Amino acid sequence: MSDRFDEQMRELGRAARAEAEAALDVDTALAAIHRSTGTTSVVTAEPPQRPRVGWLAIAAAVVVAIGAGVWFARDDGAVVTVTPTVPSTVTPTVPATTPQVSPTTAATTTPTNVPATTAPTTVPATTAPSTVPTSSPVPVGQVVRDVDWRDLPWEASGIAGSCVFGESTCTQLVHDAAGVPITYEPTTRTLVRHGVPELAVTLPAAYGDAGFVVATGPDDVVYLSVAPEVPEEMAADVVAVTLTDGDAGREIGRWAGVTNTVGDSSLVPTADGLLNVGCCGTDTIRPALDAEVPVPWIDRNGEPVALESPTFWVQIEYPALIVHRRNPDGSSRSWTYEPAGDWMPRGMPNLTATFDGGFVAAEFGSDGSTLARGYADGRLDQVVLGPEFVVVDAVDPAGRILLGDVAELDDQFARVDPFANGVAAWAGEITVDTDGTIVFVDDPSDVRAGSVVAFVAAIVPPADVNEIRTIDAERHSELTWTVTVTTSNLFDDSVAAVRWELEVAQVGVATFQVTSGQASQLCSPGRGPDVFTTELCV
Amino acid sequence: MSVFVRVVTTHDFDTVFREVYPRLVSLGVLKTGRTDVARDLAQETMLRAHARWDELATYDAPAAWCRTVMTNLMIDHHRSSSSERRAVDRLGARLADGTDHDGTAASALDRWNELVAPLGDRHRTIVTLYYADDLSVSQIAALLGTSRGAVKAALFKARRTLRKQYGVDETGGDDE
Repeated sequence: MSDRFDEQMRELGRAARAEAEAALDVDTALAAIHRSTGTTSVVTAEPPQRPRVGWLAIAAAVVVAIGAGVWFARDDGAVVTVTPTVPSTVTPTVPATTPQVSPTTAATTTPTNVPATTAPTTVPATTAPSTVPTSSPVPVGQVVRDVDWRDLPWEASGIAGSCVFGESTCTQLVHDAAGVPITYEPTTRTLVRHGVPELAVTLPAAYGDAGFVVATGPDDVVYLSVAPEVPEEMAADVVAVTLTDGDAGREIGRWAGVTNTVGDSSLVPTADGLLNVGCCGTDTIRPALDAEVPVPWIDRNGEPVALESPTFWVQIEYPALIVHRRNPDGSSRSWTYEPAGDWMPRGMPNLTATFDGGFVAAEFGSDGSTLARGYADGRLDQVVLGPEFVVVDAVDPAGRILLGDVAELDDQFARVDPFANGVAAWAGEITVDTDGTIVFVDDPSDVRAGSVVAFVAAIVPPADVNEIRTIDAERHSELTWTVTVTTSNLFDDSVAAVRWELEVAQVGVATFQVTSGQASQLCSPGRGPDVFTTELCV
Repeated sequence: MSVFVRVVTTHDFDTVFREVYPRLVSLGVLKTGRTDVARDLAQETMLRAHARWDELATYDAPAAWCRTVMTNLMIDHHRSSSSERRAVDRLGARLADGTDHDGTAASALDRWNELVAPLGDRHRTIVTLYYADDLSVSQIAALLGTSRGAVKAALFKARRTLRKQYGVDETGGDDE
């Protein structure tokens, strides 16, 4: 049941829709489709006609079917009974098969394997790469998993973000090369580096309220698209600002009108700087390796600087995509795969380099967010993230996914690990003394983790099958926690649960150190102490 | 013995294009506030449809497939471009009494975009599908791959915002 408000909205919606459709030149649009795909439009002056052969097949089948007393389905799907009127002795002249009516376009249209594109844009033409990595592509052919993101390991990231006042004010999230989250609130122009310590700066009002971070560069410099100094409807400026303690928010470079604001192109990081990749051209190498770089990387003094992070270029051999990762040391790795869903090449894929030498690609298709995870050993995994209408906001260098605007969290991003690779399992040695003291024989402080819980989950021995593991973190100060790891449902029938209490300190933006640890255990009923102690159970 | 035979219905691309393309464009215009973007996305949707027409031609409702792709392209576009936000912001600056800054009467399209401007991307999509495209809650849920409850919750929140825009109290009325 609807109320008057609903009716008003529907009336307005229908009127607006009619306006939007009124001035459309459908024939021209259809002709453009055929032109771009090298096909021919069928004649439209007459109603669509089924091919004669189709009718002949149907007629023949009718004869056969009538003879056999069969059921037919009408074109609208309704089942009708055909009463046999012909003697069953009639000999069929054609095979009694299901009649297949070919589409009327079949004879005149020939979809090609060339990626469908829209009109050419004015972005720089691409050419063949000047250098080709030596690593070999891996074979195509992977299993694509469909998963509901809520069924995956996920956590509240602690990174504030919201869309309270509408999408135009949503928090933008990116990561720098070290994996430190950086957020930008466009309406308040607040740029925050979520490191240790956290750093926040408000950028000038002249930057406008529709800015966004284009990339993070070397030397703690962030590149943003901002309102142009010289008013321009279709373009925006790029500014480079510092984001270091004591010098945050200083503009050290500006490039006028280099970003396109209508989606025709976007700036993509390369070793030399940021360059434009068109949305809709027929380029098969993206970005063009010899294209002009409109925004070079600069350091905090405004001097040219080299990017010491991996970059990507892709080859499109539709339906396959070849992702090339180039590392700062000159090495490279390639992955060849067919992206899941109805992938079509549009612009540059959203690629994130992972710490382990791989990558994550995140695209939105008709089936939801499609994620591809390439590993350094050449393996490739694909996931279609659903079924929720969910959009991937960011991918961190650990290969995890950040989701904003989800019902489960009002004011922060959710961190999801679709590839179960949040933090690589730590292979160091740990011993437990008889008094319960936990000794880390190897130093785990080189493990990179986005949270203290992720860090501890990575360094403690993995839970066995059927065991139940809980990890609780109690924060004592900005940088110190007591983390309690409790493992229950053990196979040992004398021990009900084992508990490790670890004192952990954060020592870097994504690194932690265990300052002390104590193990204890809870015995099963009748097998020893009924509280956590270091006494052995019997 | 009876044999069940099903006649396969197929669709020709041009006919479907003529039926579907205008609806896709209007959906895009009402969702993004931009005619050029809507036409571009509708064109890309139909290109994708054309590329796999051999398969789509046998679908019961290829138009539904096209609508799904269009919806997702709009989401993708929203993420990758700030232009829509700028356009919506501009539209949001129009006067609430149905006139433009220059005093001329605003069109239904302008008034629509003004109303939905404060909504988030997801809510704007659902509101457009519900009010302007006449889809039911169930149809929207199926289209977006989410639950009916999620769609109803989104509609509830969106209606609250829209009512404020309209200047009416929040009262009564189900979503379906």
